[in-house]
Amino acid sequence: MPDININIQRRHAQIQIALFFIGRQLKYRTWIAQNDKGIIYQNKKLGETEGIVVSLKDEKLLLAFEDAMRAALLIDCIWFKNGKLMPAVMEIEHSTGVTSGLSRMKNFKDKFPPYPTRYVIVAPDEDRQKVIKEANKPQFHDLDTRFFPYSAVEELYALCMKRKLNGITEEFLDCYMEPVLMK
Amino acid sequence: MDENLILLKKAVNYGYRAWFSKKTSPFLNYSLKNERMLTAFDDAILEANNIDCIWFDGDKRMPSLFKICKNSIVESLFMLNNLKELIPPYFSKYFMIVDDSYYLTALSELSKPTFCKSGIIIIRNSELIEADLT
Repeated sequence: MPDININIQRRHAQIQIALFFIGRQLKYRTWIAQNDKGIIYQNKKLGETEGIVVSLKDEKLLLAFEDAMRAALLIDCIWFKNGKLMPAVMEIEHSTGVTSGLSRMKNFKDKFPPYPTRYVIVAPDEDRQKVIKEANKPQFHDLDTRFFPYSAVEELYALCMKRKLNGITEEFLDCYMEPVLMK
Repeated sequence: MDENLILLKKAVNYGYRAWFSKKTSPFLNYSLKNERMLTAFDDAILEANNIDCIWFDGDKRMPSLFKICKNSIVESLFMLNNLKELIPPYFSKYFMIVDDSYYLTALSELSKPTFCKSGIIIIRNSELIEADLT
């Protein structure tokens, strides 16, 4: 991803930052996992960048659900919109097992009221089969998981940066996030 | 039978809690601030006074909201729709209960551009007892 000029080694963080920029272009506020807020981007902590949700307590949607808020603390990326919407909950699985990300999202889902969002595993393209296999395990069925491959993240990121996407609907995201649940 | 009484009885049958607006029933009214799903949404709590009844199932489900149309159909649709726009998109159903004689008029208003995407469901008064409201 040559256009993301950041001084970091980890692909995980690179993808996290790309997701933040995509979110920002789509006018979302982005939650980044508590333990990743210290990532330095352009000489600044990511957690101090405009558009990043500093505390989940700032999101009205979660405010009354402390247990869900706690479960969300370590989720890699959550997009929020207008105080009432949550377009996507995402776990980046780079070289880690897909199961941990699914478990983390499932834990969050179980503590929050039934709500229309997308539960997404972001992973390298070559991990697609692994994602499909894990996401179809019975305990994860109700997540109705989407797979957002790195190549699609890069494509959408490039589009956001180059074309300054504007005025598109949330459903546009579905073109990039493949539903993997076999129904 | 009075619509509110039917809504209360049905809520009890389903095992839900029923909140009624102060205008509708001062005795069954309580502060929506105590309802976890709405507590952070002051504007919605205020607007809820314009409808009649909300059902809650535990503290993580709000299955149905009701407006009993007594006067203007359009005004009632606006009230329900305004509230819907202030509440996060939980999987709730929004019902407007109308007198049988106004049913077709209500459907006609609902089909107009302002409300056609609202997802509001119109229920005839006479079918309220039998209707599946969840």
